[in-house]
Amino acid sequence: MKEALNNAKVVLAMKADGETIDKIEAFVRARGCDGARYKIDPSIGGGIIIYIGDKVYDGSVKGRLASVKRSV
Amino acid sequence: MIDVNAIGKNLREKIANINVAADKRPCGRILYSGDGVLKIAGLRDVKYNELLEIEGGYRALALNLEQDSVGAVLFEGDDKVSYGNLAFSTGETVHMRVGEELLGRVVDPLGEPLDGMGALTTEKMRPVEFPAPAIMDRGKVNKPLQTGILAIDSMIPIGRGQRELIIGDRQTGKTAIAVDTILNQKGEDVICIYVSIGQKASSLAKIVSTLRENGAMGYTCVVCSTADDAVPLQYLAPYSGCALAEYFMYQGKDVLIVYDDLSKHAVAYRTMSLLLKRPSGREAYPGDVFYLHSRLLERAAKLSEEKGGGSITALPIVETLAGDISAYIPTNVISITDGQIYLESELFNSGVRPAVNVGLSVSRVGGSAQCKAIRQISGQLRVSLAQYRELAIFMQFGSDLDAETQKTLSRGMKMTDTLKQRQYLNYSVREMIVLLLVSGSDLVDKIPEKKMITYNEGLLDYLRTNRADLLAEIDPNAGISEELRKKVLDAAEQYVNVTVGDDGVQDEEEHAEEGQGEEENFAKA
Repeated sequence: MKEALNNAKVVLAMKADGETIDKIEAFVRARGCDGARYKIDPSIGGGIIIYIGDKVYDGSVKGRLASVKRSV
Repeated sequence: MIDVNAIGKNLREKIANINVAADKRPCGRILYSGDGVLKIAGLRDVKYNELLEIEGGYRALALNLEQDSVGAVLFEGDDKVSYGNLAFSTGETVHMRVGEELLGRVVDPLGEPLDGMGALTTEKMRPVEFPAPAIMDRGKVNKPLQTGILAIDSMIPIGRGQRELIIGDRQTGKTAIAVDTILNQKGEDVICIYVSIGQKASSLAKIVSTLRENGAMGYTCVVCSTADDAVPLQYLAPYSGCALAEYFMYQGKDVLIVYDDLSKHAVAYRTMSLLLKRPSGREAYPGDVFYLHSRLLERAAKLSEEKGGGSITALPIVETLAGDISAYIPTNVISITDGQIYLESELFNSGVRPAVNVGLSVSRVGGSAQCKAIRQISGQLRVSLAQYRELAIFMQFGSDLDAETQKTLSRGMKMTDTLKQRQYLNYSVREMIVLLLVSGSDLVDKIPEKKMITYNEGLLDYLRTNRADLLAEIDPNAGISEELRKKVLDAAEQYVNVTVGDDGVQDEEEHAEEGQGEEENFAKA
């Protein structure tokens, strides 16, 4: 579990280019992670979800739609 | 006509105000899932009793907050949640849907309808856990809650805002008393809530159909958790029911709430506590099992006039094993409530129904709320019944009894018979007064011993059809004057003369006995 908590988990809808990967790496390292594991999951629709420790940064289309649904 | 444009505009405005930027949410990961219990890592900001959202749309309740994990119980989907799934905190405790709309419905402890009569549209919510009314907000219990059962209303009166425990073995008619009380609230402006905790779905279905057939669902809501529901739902059910009751109480209304039954509730809580590895105490119940019930029953109250004067009357039910009222849960709940109605299987099997043990049943606050008229005539009832029972035990040793003893015995037997009452056959206050007056008068000596119940029912029928004016003349809130008493007894005597006359052989025997009784009266005089 320790390994899992120390590594950020990043979910993307499709393969990202090098520049984006660099940005993501910088983002997760700034928050105390050793690195990131990547997963491609088209079902999130687009955007990105980053799991770091006990926080989720949800910037996916699916997540935003869910938050719209919650507030309407 | 629905205006599509208006709806569209409304939606557009709403959506425009929503912040759809990437949001940062605290989340946890499931370390352990089994028996409906979760251990979650992370979730640093979670509160006690907070509702959690588990990946896949399942709900859980956070109950154990520990140094590096959170213990939670699942409401559903315990076979689908697995190691590594995400858990989110919602920032709010469990809420129950409330509102007038719930009357006539059967809902689960989270306010979701179970009766297939369509979704609920009410948006009003109340927290399931809520502090009890403060001391200064409370008023005095001063209005009776009529159960329609003569044995209870005459000797163990219940007031609005009281907590009266119904206790007894299985199959002694505990639920029947509660259901009868709900049925008797028809037209009384009392809202009823029946909370079933871990009951068999079949018996619950029977109760719901009874309520529906008797037209009681119009003012009743059934909050239900059946035996196969997840344990946390069974644990929540009474608190949800109480939240709904509070909604009405704070509007100034009178509410009756039945918890059927709290022993199953304690068992559900024990299951949860043991699975959460909390330390166990007597009978393996956790240390806070007393607080579990005291904080629930403390929410039943009569509010002062300044606070609207509403009330919650609670009728908790507790099942005993082999009549043992000194077990852990029964003693706890007895000490919390304002009295108990004790039902005995021995009485039940010997035909005394409702099987109320008058000696062990008490009501600690209802006396001051009792109707004046009933209080006036039932004062002697308890004492004379106790005397009869003592004598009846003594009688078993010898058959040669003097006439005086025989008469006391015969009267006692008739008194006991008067208190017998069929299920769903509730008496109004005025009818109770008539029965009490008759059973305490010399008139009973004329009635054959085994005919008392039929006689009573016949008399009430007779009065309802022929002497409605007399019934209307009785004022429950005033005393019974000597004149009125005589009028009632005269009417009853008329009925006795008509019916007993038809009785043939038994009639003659009875007359002989009656003659004896009268002689004694003369001798006494």
